[in-house]
Amino acid sequence: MEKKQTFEEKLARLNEIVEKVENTTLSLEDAMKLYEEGNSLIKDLQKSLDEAETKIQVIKDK
Amino acid sequence: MEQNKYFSVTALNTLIKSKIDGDEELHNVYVKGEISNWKSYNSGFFFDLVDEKKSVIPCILWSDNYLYLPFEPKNGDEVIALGSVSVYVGRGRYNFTVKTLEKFGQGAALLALEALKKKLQAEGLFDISHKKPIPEFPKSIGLIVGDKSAAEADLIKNISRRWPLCDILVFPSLVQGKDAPKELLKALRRAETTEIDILIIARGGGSNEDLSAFNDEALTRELYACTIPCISAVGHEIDTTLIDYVSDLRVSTPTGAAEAATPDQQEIRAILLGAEDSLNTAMKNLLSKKRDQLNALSVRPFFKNPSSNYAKAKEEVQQLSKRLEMSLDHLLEMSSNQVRSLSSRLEALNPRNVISRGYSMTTDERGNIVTSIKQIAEGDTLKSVLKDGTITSKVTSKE
Repeated sequence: MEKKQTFEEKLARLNEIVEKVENTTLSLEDAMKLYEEGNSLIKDLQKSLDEAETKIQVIKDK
Repeated sequence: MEQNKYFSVTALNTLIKSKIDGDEELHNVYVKGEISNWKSYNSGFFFDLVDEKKSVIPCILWSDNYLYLPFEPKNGDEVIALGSVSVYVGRGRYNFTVKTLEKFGQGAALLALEALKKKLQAEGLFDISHKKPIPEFPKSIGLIVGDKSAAEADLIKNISRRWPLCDILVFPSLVQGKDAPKELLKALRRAETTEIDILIIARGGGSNEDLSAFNDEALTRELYACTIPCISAVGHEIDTTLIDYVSDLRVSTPTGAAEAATPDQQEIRAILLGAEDSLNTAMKNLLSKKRDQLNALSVRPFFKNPSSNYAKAKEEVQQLSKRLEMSLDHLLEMSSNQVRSLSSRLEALNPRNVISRGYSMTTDERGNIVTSIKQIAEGDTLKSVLKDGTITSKVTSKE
């Protein structure tokens, strides 16, 4: 399920996590969980950008 | 002749200038003619407009106004010029100061285009409410561009630089000439069969005639019906085609289209670093807050001297157990007293005690205690138990 998330969805989740960690009172345990999830999302998204390569396809009339 | 009977040349020219320049009829008039003697200077352009009767009017077009011309005028062009007549006092010449020029013959085409635009507008083709939002993170972008055109190269370069996560599908088409509208329509229909998130239609600048394919009614209607969000970048800023009106977003250059269609990976990377920072800071703050809470707790009496809380309870337990012990002792003492008094009472009943005081107990031979003379007869054997032994005796008589 994690794999199928798009870049946009992951980025949105990351924003949600930052928002939560910054603006709500969390237990240390919940905060740690979110912190770890956020960091892994950041690594994941950075990796997507690092590895991305534009594929170009020309579609002419058949 | 007296001095007040003649003009100086300057005075005459100035009078003429005030007559002509001040005449409203000679302000903002349209003149049709053919351009000849085109000359350019730093300040502007000088040329003549000539008509079929070879009548000539000298014209001036200042550089500022030249910038806004819809085309590049050259000798031989039939034009309509808008301007005002003005006199140059120093040379005693009048000229036509041109504000703008339009190619003659385009008027009809422009009128037709204007009518088409009004019709489509009335039908709602250009309504803002029909505009689709441009997705922020496209996975695939389609390009309708001239084959190997500068627009294509520019778009591919900028899209892949900004957002390499998205694929590009190129639908090459003619972008000018009489077959261009048909070709563009075919390219659009091809694009509609693919899974693209955004469609970009782009072409570099050109004359009105060059861009006319993008004013095609069928193409405009097809694009209106198209479900893919579309960005148009046709011609320069000042050229607006019907495609521009019907597209979901209009930009003036292919680079602008790439920017409108994609996020910039540098910005996203900065956002990711920012998020990392925010998480670290928030975590640090939370940890130090928890540490403070812990410190605050540790100075409270409970943690300073945990046994103090128990001292009272301990005392209670001790007291209770003492009471318990006491009552047990009491109970035991009471019981032993009872036993003692019972045993002394029992002792008092012991017949041996009576015997020890000088009495004796008599039994028959079978050990039955003799309490009445009726129990015995003469000659029976009796046993008497005394304090220190037993006497056996024979009954010789009874009374």
